[in-house]
Amino acid sequence: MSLFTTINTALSGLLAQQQALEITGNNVANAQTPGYHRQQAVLSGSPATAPVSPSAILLSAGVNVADITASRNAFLARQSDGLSGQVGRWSLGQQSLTSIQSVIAPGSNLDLSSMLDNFFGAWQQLAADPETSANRNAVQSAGETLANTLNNQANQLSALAQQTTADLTTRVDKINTLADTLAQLNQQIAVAQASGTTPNDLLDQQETTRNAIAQLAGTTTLSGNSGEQITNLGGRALVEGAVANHLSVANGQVVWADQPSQAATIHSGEIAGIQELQQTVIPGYQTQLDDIARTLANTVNALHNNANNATGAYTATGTAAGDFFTGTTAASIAVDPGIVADAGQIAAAKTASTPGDGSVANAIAQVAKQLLIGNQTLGQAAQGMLGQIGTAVQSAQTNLQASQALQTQVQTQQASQSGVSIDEEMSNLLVYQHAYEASAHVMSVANDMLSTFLSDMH
Amino acid sequence: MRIPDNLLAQQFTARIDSVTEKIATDQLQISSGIRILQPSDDPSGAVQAAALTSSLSQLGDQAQVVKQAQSWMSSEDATLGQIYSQLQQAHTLAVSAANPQSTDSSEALATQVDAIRNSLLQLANTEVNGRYLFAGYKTDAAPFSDTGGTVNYTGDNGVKTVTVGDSGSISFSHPGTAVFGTPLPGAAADPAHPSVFATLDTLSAAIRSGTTATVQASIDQLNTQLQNVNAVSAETGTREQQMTQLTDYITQQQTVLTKTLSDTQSTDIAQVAIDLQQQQNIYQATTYVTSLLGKEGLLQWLH
Repeated sequence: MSLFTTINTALSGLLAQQQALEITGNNVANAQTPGYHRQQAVLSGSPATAPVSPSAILLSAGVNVADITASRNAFLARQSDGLSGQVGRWSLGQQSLTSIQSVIAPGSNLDLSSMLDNFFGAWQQLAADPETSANRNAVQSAGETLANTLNNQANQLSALAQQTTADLTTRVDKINTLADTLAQLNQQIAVAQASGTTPNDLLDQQETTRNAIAQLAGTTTLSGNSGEQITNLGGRALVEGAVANHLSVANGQVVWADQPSQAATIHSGEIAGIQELQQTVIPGYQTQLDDIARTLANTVNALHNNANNATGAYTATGTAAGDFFTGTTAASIAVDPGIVADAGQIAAAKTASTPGDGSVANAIAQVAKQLLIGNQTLGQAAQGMLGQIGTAVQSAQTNLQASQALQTQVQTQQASQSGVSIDEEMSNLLVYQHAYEASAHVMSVANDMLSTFLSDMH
Repeated sequence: MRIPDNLLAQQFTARIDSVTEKIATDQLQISSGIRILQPSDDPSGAVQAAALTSSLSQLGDQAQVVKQAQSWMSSEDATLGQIYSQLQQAHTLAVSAANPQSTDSSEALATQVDAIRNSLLQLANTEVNGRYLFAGYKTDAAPFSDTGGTVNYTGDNGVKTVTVGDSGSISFSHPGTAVFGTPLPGAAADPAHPSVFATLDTLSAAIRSGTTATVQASIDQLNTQLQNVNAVSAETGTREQQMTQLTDYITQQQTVLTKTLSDTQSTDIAQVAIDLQQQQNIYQATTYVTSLLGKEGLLQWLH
């Protein structure tokens, strides 16, 4: 064993500690980087090439950094993907349902139920006092406000439906971009691993990208037969190794770009939330509003139009009355233009020239109490919608909170395993620093010994 | 368990967010006084509140309608009283004309009967707020007119009716035909049941001509007519009483429903205030503890 060997061994220590310090520095620098997994230097003794005489004991020839590992947990990553899908779905659902709620329940005395009350209340006043023209004006304006409320709610729901279609396209574009990125990463990782290195930063990016796709479309990750990663979307691979399949939107449906007739099956993620809104939730409320508008218009017109009312319906000027409402959908319902122009065109009497007769107005006022929609009055149907949207928002909130709580747990576990703790890095720093100093000291001692030996030889 | 730095920060942010959200909700509930700000706060409570609000609004409308009917009926009641007393005077005059011992001059009696007939015609055309009380539905024109000494009726048989709540239809007017017995326009007069005006016309002529038998017949007719006006009056009285009961019922219902609505949607101020205080304590404690954590760290001690 020579003193030169000792110097070399000390040098390997210096180099290894320096590299370990660099890794610590990298960890500290990335303490707040999303998706970063803390890295650790795996130090290992270098094997000696030949037995060292005279003792013939095999001493290792210093130290080297055998690997840099990142504390990765594939199981937690999969779990996190699944939960991101859930959180994505419910947070989108909660936001959109809250928007729908503010349309259907705009606040006290502004909702449909209140407007129906005002409308039928005005008819009742007219029935009791048909001679007063102010009562006709009240019916006219209550009718217009009611029609406007239905129009506004229908229009806002349509706008929300359009918005969700736009949202869907944006998200599908985002998925395609992310799928391309993931395919590239998969390839780069495969190349790096084939050459025996551990591409930690690429693996971090891969995990982050996979999670972002899962949040959008609820994808899951499988391993293929030859070890490649498959990002599975409803039974088909979105990304298989280095190959990405693209999605596109056709008629509001998410389909595979290469097979436009085949819809992509998406059960989770933000897109599942959007599809539910688009296909079930918004049309459901639109149908209910249309039902209320159609029933209201048809029932009131049947009494108000002289041609439909068997006992007759006449205006204040003694002419046969026509329809009160035009249009039979929530978006199109309006008070007849003739009545808007002249409240005298409102029918209160069943015969001509009987200004004291309020029997038609009385009959229309009674529509408020008739069970017209599924054993409910119009007002109860409107109130039912309040309850329905309220329950939907509440359950979306509950689901969101539950999935967020689970996500937090998984994230805590992930962070606990792979997050950077400054305290820990500082203590590592001390260890590496001292080890470095010690190696330097060994080298210095070896140097002294060598000097002593060389000077004594003179 | 390892607690990395960003985990602490995340958890702190999440906790502060959730506490702040609760504080905001509490403050809104206190300042608005309403517990259900959106249906999602309590869906079944929201539906109940909407139904109660709707019922209260309907009760308010009913109260208005009842008031309207009451005002009509009190006008009618007062007029019927005057009509009755006029008819009674006519009856007294007829009785004294039929009395052979009477010293009153026939002409003077007949003139008084004519005056009563004319004042009844005025009462029959009583107008309140531009509406003729005894015109049926044709409330826009005077229903009784004197054409060549005969009083004709130009109104109709309409009875004003409203439906109030679940109590069914309530009629609150009487057409001229019901009070004065005048035939409808175009209909022939029934000789057996002449109108009040026809009776008085006949009576006046009979007093002047001294036809005692006709005067006697008129007295019988006046008796029937007095009974009729009395019956109409009694009916109005009964309806007014119903309306008063209905008003009481509506007021009572309004009180009950307002209370229920308040129970359903009002904020329990005491409870929310206590909760708010607790949330504020949690907020302060969380921020304080976090500020301490930030200061301590190995890095500080290494320097």
